[in-house]
Amino acid sequence: MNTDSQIKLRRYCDNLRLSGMSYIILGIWAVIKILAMLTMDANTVNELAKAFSQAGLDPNDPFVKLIYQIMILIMVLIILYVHLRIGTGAIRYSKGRKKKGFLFLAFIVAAFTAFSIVMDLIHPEYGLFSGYSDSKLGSLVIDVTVLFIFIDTFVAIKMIDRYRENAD
Amino acid sequence: MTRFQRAKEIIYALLIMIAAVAMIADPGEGYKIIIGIIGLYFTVLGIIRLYYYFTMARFMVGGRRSLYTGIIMFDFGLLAGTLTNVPHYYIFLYLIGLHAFGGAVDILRSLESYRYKASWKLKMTHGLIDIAVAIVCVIFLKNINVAVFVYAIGLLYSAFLRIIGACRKTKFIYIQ
Amino acid sequence: MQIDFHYYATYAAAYLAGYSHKECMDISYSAFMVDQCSKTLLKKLGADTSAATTMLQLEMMDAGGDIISLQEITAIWSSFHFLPKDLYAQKSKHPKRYMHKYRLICGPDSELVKKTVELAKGSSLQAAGIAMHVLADTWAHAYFAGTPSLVINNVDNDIYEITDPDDRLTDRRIVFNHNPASPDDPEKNSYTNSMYVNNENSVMNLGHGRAGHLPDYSFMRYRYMPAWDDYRMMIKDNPRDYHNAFCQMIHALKYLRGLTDSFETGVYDTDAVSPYDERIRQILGRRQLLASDDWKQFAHDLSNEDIEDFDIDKYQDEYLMAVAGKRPDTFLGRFIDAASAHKKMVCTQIAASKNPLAGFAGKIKE
Repeated sequence: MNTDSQIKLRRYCDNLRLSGMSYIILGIWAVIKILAMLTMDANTVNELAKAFSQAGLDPNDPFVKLIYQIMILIMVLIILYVHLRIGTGAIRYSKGRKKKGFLFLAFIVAAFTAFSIVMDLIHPEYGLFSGYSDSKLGSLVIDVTVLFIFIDTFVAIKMIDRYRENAD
Repeated sequence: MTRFQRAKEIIYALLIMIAAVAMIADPGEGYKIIIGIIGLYFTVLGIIRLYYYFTMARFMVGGRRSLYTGIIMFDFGLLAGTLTNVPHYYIFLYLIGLHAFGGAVDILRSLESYRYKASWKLKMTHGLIDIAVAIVCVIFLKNINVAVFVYAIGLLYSAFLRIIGACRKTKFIYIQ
Repeated sequence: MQIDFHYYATYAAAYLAGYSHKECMDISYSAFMVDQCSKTLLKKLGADTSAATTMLQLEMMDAGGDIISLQEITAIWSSFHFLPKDLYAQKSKHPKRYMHKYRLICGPDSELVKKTVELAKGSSLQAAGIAMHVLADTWAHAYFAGTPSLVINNVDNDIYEITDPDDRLTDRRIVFNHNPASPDDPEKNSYTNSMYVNNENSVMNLGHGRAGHLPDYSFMRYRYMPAWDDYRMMIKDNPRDYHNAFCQMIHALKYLRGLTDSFETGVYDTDAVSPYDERIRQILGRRQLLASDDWKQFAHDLSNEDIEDFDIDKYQDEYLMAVAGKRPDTFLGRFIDAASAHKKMVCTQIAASKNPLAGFAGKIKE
């Protein structure tokens, strides 16, 4: 019950389960942040209005508004889907399920996240090195956390496979 | 409490009182201060939670939860500080929740004190006042000045309690 | 532990140690009084509230998260319900802040329990009763600490009842709910526990709240991962532990009565228990939330006397009507003195180990 393999297996399963849950919560938080920025941050709202005008669209046109809202909805659903797919995959794997399909999506997202961290730092307009702001710092912190979660997930799965063999 | 801790509590309480009075004097600016305070509060809470993770929770089964909670709180604090157009409904919801919940807990505690024949009137009074404040917030939902006023009164009250707590004689366990 | 063990079983242990019926009643009353003597009660009696041996829920909810409140909570719970096993335990690469809490983990057969029993030697029956409560709780409450601590006292929801020690595949997962109004149901495997609160010093993280009342049920065998044990699985065998507690109480009470020269940890008076062993094990193993009726019947069969039910008001008039100078000579007066002495001993030991959680080492400030 308390062999070295069994203890390590429990530890990595627990880490994987927590990583999965945290990734889902971060997905929900990402959606909340996007909606908050689009409704409560004057800078974001003004920039969007400017972008619409530059594209020759009237931001007050009901049809334009509808298309805009549908696009936001699609974006939110994609974000939630990705987080839920990866998060629930990790949780199920920690509980004994052997399917690793979610890992393919996880690798892609991890690569994007690593790229995003670099951009969070060096982008000429939105990077931290081009001028500090709280939202830039927040963005960087979340991206670093997400990358950490992914690395932790990959390591945990490798270790779980190894110790499950030993336990068998 | 050491003298240093007492001084810290009293200075902190005085700063809160100054902020509260400033809010009441100018509700428009006061509202921005509220958003700033809430943002700072969660940012600091997030940092504290991260510190807790690295010094304590990382040794605990499932302790990673504290790490991720800390990061989300920290990010929430940073976000709250950057938002410039938060509808005052959200602040009201926060105030109503805080006072209604606090009031209900105080009333339940006072009823339990009553059952044990201990003193209960003060706690009951606190509870009823909290519930009344929550009701005021609901009635005046559309008035931003009321939100600022209620929040500022809450700050003054908690600053007052801090000063009382700092001036209290503290007991020490008798050890030879 | 609950009234069944602290009151009725303690009576039985005292009787088997050779005490008279009246003495057994005094000892067992004092043993269970430890679970009743709160600040609120002491205030009502006009007694010194620092002698409190327990805290009511409302008192705990009123307690703040400041160091003074934490020390007050820890002083009471560590002294009377979660006596620390090893105040000098070592764990490498763990910060001091963590170790202060880790060293308060309760466990049986400790140096402190030896000191507890020795302190009661030559003292009142009330002191003996308090010592028996503390001793018994070291078995039931093992692996939890008498200080609010998430990192020590948390238990995740993966607790399994061991229904057949020889066939572990039959282990049943315990289902917890947080509704204190709903009673525990062993048949449905449904129990109440305190909510998860992600705050190190919350009273929800005091003692065994996160495991509900499982440690207090003598029939329970279960496995779980304590928060502090690095993912090791712990097996808690309450029937075995309660049996040990009972036998150890007899050994301790014989020492207090002067029938033996010393009290040693790790010694359990199984000889005294052997004529009744089967019956005791039946009581301990029966799936019931409270075994008071069984223990009361057993105690009655031993002594052939009527065992009065516990009445918290029984000695209050005597205390209230006594003049101030005579109060220490009353039943409750002796209980209060014994409680104060025990608390002082434990807090001194904790402070001597350079652990500030139960109080600062220093002189009284007037």
